[in-house]
Amino acid sequence: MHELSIAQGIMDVVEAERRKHGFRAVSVIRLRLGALSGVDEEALRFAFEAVRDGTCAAGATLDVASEQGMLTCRKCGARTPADDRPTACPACGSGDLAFEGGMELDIVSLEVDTDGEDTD
Amino acid sequence: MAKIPIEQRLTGRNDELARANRRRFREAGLCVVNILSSPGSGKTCLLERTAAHMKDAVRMLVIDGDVETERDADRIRAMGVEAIQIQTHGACHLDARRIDEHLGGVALADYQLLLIENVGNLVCPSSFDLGEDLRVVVASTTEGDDKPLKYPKAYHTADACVLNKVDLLPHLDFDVEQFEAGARRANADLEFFRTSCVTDEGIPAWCAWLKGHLGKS
Repeated sequence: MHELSIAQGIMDVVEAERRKHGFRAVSVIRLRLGALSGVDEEALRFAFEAVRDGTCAAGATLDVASEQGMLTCRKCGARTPADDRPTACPACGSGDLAFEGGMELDIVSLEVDTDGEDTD
Repeated sequence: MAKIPIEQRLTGRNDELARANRRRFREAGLCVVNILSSPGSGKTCLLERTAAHMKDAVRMLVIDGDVETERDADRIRAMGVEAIQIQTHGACHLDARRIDEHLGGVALADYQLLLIENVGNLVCPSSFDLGEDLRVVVASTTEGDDKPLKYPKAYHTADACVLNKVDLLPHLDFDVEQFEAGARRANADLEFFRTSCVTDEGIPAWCAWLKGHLGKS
């Protein structure tokens, strides 16, 4: 359950951007979350609600894009989305599959409200 | 309304501190190993056996991460190896900042090998780089051979996988081939070791692998 420290990491980025750009409030925070990131989306949303109170992100929503990653066959090179977790390569039947990607744990962008520029 | 592009890792602050740790470790010529597992897989026993085999030939230091108590560090000290206990008081993983804090007054160049026993947990520790050279996941035969499929990230980010308690295999319905195939699905390049801290099986091979990495970093 380290989602709280990840949620605090979101707030650290938001505050750093606010010092740079001087916006009033954040309305949307876009994240990219890989299936192997080790972070549970629902737990992260819950933790974020706890840390956003009283900040410029108090009214912000999290827009989360999930990345499933890909499996690459080490025999024939075919690439398969890892969503349905196949145990064998659909192209050649080999079980020698390497996992790629799915580790994303990124903050992609912010939608901010610039009305009444407040440079703090 | 305006859009601000960011494109940044959320563990960015930890990654930065981990890079600083890694620089410091390299300058000192220290090889650092981050050991992950679920609670009860025998990490501390493995470290005790590792200490018994290596302490006369290699200058070792151990960091033990636990939620509470000094018990693990005491066990390592009893083996004649210096140990630092980190009590996280609730936190489910070690991070780069805690490692830096606890190594503050340590002359790293006095050691060749630092073994870090992370908090027993297969989920959270795998998200936090400590600045290590090698990451090892320890599993045991009493946990079930499907664990790599259930906790792929720990295996995905590891360099080696130790299957411990192999002396119990005759009493268990545990398929070693299936376990290793599952781990290979998460990471095709894993090195495998099968160990028993009771019979000492596999411990020499594991220690030889560690020795092979000393002074490389």
